[in-house]
Amino acid sequence: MSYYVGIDIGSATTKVALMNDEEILGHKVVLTGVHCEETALEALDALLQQLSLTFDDMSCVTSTGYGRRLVKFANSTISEISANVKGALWYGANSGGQVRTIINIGGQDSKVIAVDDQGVTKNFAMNDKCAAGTGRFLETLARILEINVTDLGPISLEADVPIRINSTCAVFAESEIISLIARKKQKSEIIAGAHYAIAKRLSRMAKRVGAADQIFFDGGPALNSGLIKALEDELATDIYVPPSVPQVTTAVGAALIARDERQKERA
Amino acid sequence: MSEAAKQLTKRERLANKVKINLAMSVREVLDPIKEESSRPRRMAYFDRIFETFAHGGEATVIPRKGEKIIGTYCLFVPEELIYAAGARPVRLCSGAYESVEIGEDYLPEVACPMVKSELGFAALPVLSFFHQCELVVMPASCDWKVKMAEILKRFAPVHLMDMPRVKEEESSRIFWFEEVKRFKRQVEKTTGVRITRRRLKQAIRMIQRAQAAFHRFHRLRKAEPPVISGRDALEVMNAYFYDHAEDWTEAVTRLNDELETRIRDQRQVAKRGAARIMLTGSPMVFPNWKVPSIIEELDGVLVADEFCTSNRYLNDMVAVDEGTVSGMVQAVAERYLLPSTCPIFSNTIDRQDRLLQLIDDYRVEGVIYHILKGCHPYDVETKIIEQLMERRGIPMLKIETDYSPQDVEQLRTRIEAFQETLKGRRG
Repeated sequence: MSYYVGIDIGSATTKVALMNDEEILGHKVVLTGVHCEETALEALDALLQQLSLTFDDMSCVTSTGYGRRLVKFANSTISEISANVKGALWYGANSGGQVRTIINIGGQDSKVIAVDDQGVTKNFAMNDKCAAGTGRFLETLARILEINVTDLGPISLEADVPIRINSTCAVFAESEIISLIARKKQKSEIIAGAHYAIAKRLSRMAKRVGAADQIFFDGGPALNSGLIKALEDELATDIYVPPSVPQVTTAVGAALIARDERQKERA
Repeated sequence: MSEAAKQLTKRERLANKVKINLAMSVREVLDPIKEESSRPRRMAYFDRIFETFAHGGEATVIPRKGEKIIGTYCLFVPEELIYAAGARPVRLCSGAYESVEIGEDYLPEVACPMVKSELGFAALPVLSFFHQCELVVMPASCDWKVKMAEILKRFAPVHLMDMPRVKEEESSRIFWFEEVKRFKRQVEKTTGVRITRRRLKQAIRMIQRAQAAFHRFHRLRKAEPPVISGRDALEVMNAYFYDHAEDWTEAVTRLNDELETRIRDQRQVAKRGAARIMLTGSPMVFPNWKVPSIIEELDGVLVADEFCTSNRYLNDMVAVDEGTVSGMVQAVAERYLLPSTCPIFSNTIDRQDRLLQLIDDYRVEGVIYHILKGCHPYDVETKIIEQLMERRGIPMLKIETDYSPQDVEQLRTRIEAFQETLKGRRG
């Protein structure tokens, strides 16, 4: 039996996925921390232990994400765009749906990728210059409101009318939100407003890349039900979120690429 | 899923998107105004009307028993005839940015945001009263409206009223009278109610009471220092779009009473020494309070306006001493044509006189001339008004904008500098 590993080192979290020739066997999400290679190795070790495997059983390790070149034990690297597309299409196919657009929100960037009906990347847009509309922004929001980041979604869904937040810049939005708190606005309405601000930003990016209707949404913030609703409203279409694992799609994509590479060599 | 069913879902989804964003805009505009501690308490009545926008507009227009809704555009549609037929006029002119994008599917880029916004609401189920109209009446006022009438036919039964462009001539008066009579027949056909002498007289009297409340309101606006903000004044007038004339008159009368008390108690809304500004030009409809919000957030005070959606709305009274239906219809028709200061008419003399009168009456220090991009009638008059103001020594700032929030910061800088100029002139 051959095993393949995908490691996605993001700014906030590191994701490791392990698969054999047919299916995903397990995955893990840990905080990236300072020494990302060590973090990746520890996460992989934990996963291996869980599956009663050893590192030597691994046929190929592919790393991706902004820290991909720092993982010296990886056999190959791939950009997170390609890995994301690969993973999203795999999950999309498993759910029986086609994927034409991928929206990914990471810890410090967000991107929209358009793929054609053959699954080839057509175009993509990326906001990697600032924390506007990223996971970091959501963390800031939760911190100011003194709530857990996982509560953002459920609380925001209680809002009657969201409050418009004009800034998604993490710095300006912070002061805008603090002033809303001072004006005694409800938390639910502030959070919902922030979600719509992010959604609006992403839907503009989606328009720029010529996004089509079948939308796949992943990355940590895809766990946020309120953000999903805001995106569906702004894009005026249903979006598909891989159940329970929206963070690991890119790592899974990297594992799939590792598998394909080896299979090609063998052929 | 069938193709038709899919399309419906997409349409509903788009409507939902517009709905949510509109709800957010309503809050964005109203919340800070409502937080003003110096605000008249009785503005709450008017707030409630606009807050209904946030929930699909189902409670914006509540027809009385048996009332059919007749949608109108511009202010040339004789509402007396609609009320006389037991129907309810609702003015559909729109100031919402959210539906502009939808309207752009039907109109060229250069069309004004108002017609785009209106068509957007006609095309999508966002505000329910747009879709409850038994008839939509469109005066052939500007070129956009003429063509819009044709496009609108896809969504609602439309009655186009032709308009003369030379209002002083006898031939125009006769032509307009004929158009109003044709409109009367259409209203009777739509409602199945014959407009009798008694019904028409009652309707005229009702509108006259609204006009009396309007005139009292505008007299109270002249108080120095002002006791009501410009945005609130715009809101009161804009509420007339949706409210029954009788209910509106009652609410304005109560507000007027409060304003009188405030004058006695010297409760003012503006900072001492605030620059006194008048707004004119292309119409402003809620929630497009972009320019008025900037003026008043910068501590200026909007003391007067000359808009067809506000100060011009109920200004001209019907002289009704004629006893026959025909005589009354003619009297009604005349109130809409001759005194109008709309720039679709060839001469601008009446509008010039009216602006100068308002400047005197409200001790206006500066004029902000608002042009919606693509609004040619107001744009083409700019030079004439500019020269007039120069001759009179009244500073004027021309602003060309649309409904999008993109230029707010640039406008803020320009309006701030303008207000500083006005204060600097005082010496």
